[in-house]
Amino acid sequence: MASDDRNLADRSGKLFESHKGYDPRVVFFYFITAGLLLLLGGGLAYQQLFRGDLYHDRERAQNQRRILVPGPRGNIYDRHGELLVGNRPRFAVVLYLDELRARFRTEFIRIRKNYRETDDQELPTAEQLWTLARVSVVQSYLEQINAILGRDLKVDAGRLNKHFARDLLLPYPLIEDLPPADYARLIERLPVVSPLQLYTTNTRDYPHASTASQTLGFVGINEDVESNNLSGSDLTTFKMRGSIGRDGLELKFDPLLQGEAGGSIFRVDPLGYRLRDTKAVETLLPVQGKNLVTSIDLDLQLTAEQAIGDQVGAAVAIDVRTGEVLVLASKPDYDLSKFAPRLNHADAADITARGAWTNLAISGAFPPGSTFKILTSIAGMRAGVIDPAEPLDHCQGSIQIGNRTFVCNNDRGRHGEILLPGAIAQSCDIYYFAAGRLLTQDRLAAEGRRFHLHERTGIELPHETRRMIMPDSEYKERVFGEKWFPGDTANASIGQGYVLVSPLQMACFAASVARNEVHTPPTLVHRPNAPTLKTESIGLTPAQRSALVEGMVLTITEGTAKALNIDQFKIPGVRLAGKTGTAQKIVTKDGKTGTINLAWFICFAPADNPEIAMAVMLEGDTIGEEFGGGRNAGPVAATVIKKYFENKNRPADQKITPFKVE
Amino acid sequence: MTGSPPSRKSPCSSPSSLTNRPAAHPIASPVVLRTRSPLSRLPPLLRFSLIFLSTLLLWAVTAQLNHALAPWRLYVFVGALAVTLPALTFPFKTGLLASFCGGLLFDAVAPVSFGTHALLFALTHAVVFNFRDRVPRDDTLSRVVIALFANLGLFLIFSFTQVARSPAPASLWPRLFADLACSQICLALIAPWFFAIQARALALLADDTHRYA
Amino acid sequence: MPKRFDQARPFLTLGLVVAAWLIVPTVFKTFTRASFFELTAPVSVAASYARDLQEYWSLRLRSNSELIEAGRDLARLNASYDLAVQQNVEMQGEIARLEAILRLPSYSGYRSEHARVVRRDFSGWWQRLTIRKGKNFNFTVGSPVVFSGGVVGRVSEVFAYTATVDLISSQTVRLAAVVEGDIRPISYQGGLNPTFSSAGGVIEFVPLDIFASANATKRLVTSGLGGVFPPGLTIGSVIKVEPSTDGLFKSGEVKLDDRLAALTEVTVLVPLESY
Repeated sequence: MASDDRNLADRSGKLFESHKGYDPRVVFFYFITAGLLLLLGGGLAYQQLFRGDLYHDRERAQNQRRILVPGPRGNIYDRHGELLVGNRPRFAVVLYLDELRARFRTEFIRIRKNYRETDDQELPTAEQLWTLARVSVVQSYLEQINAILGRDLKVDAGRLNKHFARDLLLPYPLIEDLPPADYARLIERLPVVSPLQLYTTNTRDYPHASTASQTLGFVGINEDVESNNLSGSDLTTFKMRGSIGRDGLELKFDPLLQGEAGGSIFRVDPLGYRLRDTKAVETLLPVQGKNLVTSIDLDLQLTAEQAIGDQVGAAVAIDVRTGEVLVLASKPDYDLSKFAPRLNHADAADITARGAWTNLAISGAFPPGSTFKILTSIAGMRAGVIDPAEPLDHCQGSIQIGNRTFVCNNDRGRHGEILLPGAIAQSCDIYYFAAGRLLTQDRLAAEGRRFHLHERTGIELPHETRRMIMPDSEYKERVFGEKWFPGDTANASIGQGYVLVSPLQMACFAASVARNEVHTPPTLVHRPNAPTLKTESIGLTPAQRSALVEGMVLTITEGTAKALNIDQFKIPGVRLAGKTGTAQKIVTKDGKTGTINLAWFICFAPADNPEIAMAVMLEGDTIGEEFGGGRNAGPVAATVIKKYFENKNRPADQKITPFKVE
Repeated sequence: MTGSPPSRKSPCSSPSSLTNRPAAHPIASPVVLRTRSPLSRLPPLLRFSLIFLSTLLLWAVTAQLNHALAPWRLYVFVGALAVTLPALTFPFKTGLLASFCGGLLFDAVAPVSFGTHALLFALTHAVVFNFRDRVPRDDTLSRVVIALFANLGLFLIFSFTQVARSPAPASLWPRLFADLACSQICLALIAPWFFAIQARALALLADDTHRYA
Repeated sequence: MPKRFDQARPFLTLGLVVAAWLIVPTVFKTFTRASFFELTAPVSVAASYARDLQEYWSLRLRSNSELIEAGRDLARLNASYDLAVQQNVEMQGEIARLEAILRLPSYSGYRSEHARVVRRDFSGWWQRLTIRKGKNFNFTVGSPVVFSGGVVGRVSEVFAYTATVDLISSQTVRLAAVVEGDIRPISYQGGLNPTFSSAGGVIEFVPLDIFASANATKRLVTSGLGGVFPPGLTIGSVIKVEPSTDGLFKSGEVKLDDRLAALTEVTVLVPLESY
């Protein structure tokens, strides 16, 4: 040590080493160290300041899970507030698997120990042991339920494993759709704090089963519930199944009816189990969707469906003033209650076999038959080829048009010289063949287009047909590559041939005629203070209008619908104006090809100041059967119209107080 | 030397004991010369028994008080009193045992997981014990203040463990705050009596123990 | 030893205690709990006997004329109850006959056992009673407890000669109830215990067509469907129902009988046969 001191002293000339200001060789390392520290500090600052959010998000994404619970759908009411579609609670007893981590582990150890103690050579794999442990634990909880309810249920291992792997944070349903007695028993006997809990979901409830089924539509399972109000869209999300509209109003108004999903965000451990005794980071209650008040009148709808009975066909009633659809019935239909909670294959096959999926009122396109003569009459009068005060032709039962002879299908040979009201009432084909010949098809088709019979009505329902046809020469050339013949005009003027319309269109047409206007856009949404529709006037003179309405009234009193002129259908103080129609449709049934009749009836009432308009179309079921508008379709319409006025004239104290609609 | 706190293991760390070593903190506790207390010579089991019996007495009194207050929907919780004196004066382990067992007594008559009160009392004991050298603890008023704070903590922690089970937690809190206020008032009123009972019992038996030792 | 470690020693010891407690077998805990409870039981029972004695002496201070008057009132009351009992017997016979005709299962029978209230323990956290009968009267956990105003609660623990009863105002009690005149079960749970006011509970899964308010209350009664309580016992008055956001049900509040807070005697319905 002494020698060292001496050496140092020798070197510095002092007895102790003095501090040197700097050493250039060391300064170099200072820079390197400072640079590295700067790099380190900068990196830290970068990670903390600029990437802090990223790490926070990653940590959040790793430690938090989101559960989405769909909101129940809104109710659907009729125009008086009667519930058409609601929600029915479904009580279930569920097990929260995510609270059982410790139990699973203990059971796993126990089972493994048992295997080892029995010296079993074929020790299951760890995954199999975990499955055994889970099933064992869940079965022990299920045994509690079995003991309370007196059942003997076993755990489905496959379903449990699937739930465990995919939906750990969602409650595992042990029993779904508990009857009230079982539910009550569990309320009282299950501990308040337990992984076993009573849980309520909901399903659609249809208090009137098949009523307006195709109009109301049905819902299907929605696997992709979303919530805009619950944060954490970037988190791993578990979704309870919701429902989504698949047909009818349920589909068309799905965004309105769809409830707002609620849910919770929970903290989880690295294995995905919810942290014990921690509350949700965020909770949002699901909110029911908006209610829909339809224009349907439940009482009239039931009346119409009852009147149609087992026949195939459709009936549409419209509020003339507003275009609101009061009845939209189609048969055959299906029982909506079979869709809740879900439709089974057998019932689906049955609906398909009966052809009940189709809403004939909007999706069917049929030749309107003689009901189309109202349009021909209007077109003729507007074109000046029909003078209500003058006979058009002498009906002798047949008429030669081009090289074809057309016969009068209604009371052949007895009409003689007939005026417009009589022609309407007796549905004289010869009169309209002559009118068509004078009118020309292009003008008739133009009139049809003026009444919007060539296009969809725009009703708030899916699957409205596009197959309606208001044919003219251009149409035939375009579709069939043939020129238009006078015989085609003759057919079209009585609503046959290429003319196709839907029952809804004809109801709208009847409402338009009733209002003396050309357009009635139908709607299924009830607006209590909806203004009266105001569209283009038909353009008839008062005399022409009077003759048209008179003809439609005569149809009931002494014409083709005189079957309705009996007490059963008469409405005191109300005159019904209508027009029958019978069209033919070629079908093949039981290997036999022939024609069946389509019975039509359009009407409005009261004739002087119309309030309600209707169109009914029924399909005969037997080839060659006598099936006509006056005899078959008319009574359906008359029954509904009579019910309408009975309800309207019922004293206020006898009216059913509707359920309040929010 | 005056600045260094004595070892926690030392029985002399008890402020109620007289010791020839200085007090733990020059500010919190004046530097006094103390002789060995008769209490410190009590066997731990006896000390524990005395404290446990006093806790039983405390429970009996508050149970009767709560029985009487029930029609007014008021409730008194003074669990911290069972912890305060052992935590401030006893060696750690003896005090912890006394507090834990006192907690078990409270647990036995409450619909909670057995051990909830016990563990909370033990935690309170550990916390109070840890800072007892830094606060004045010889006079009754200080002890009452410490007991009030401990009771406040215990009440709130206990409430948080229970409130989650309520179907309407929001409506529960006003009641809990009323109970808390009532409990604190009652604690302030009965604490001097209770501490005196405990001290007298300990002193009485310590004399006897000393005499027959 | 480092100073920091020395300071942390109490907490380490506490940690060891906690760890030790967590691994203690449940059997030991159950036994210890029962032992501790039985340790406190004599205190409570002695206090209740003291109260009974106090009541006895306070009655002794009444004048003879007062006692005679009270006895006469009691005789009249007994007479009317005798009449009601006779009517009940007749109705029970009719019910039994109808059940036999319709082949309906009859409700389990109960044995009524009256018990004095030893201790009321009404905190914001729980609401319990300790009663002066227990295993010595074959009480079982879960047995319904009633009084003249309706449901009191359920027996939650049974000890040698005492038992504890969870009151229906306690958040630990849940019942299947019905609104009087309705048959759809709804869930009742206690948990509303405001200071200086009546206790209450909450009801859930209330059908949407049930309405009630503070001015137009509805009586909530036991449904009998749960299998624990006989049907028709009063739980309380429904004072509020509000629709929930999901539109499926309503939820609401129930006000309980004020007398629950000052009960001195209750009746335990001991099931004659287990479910």
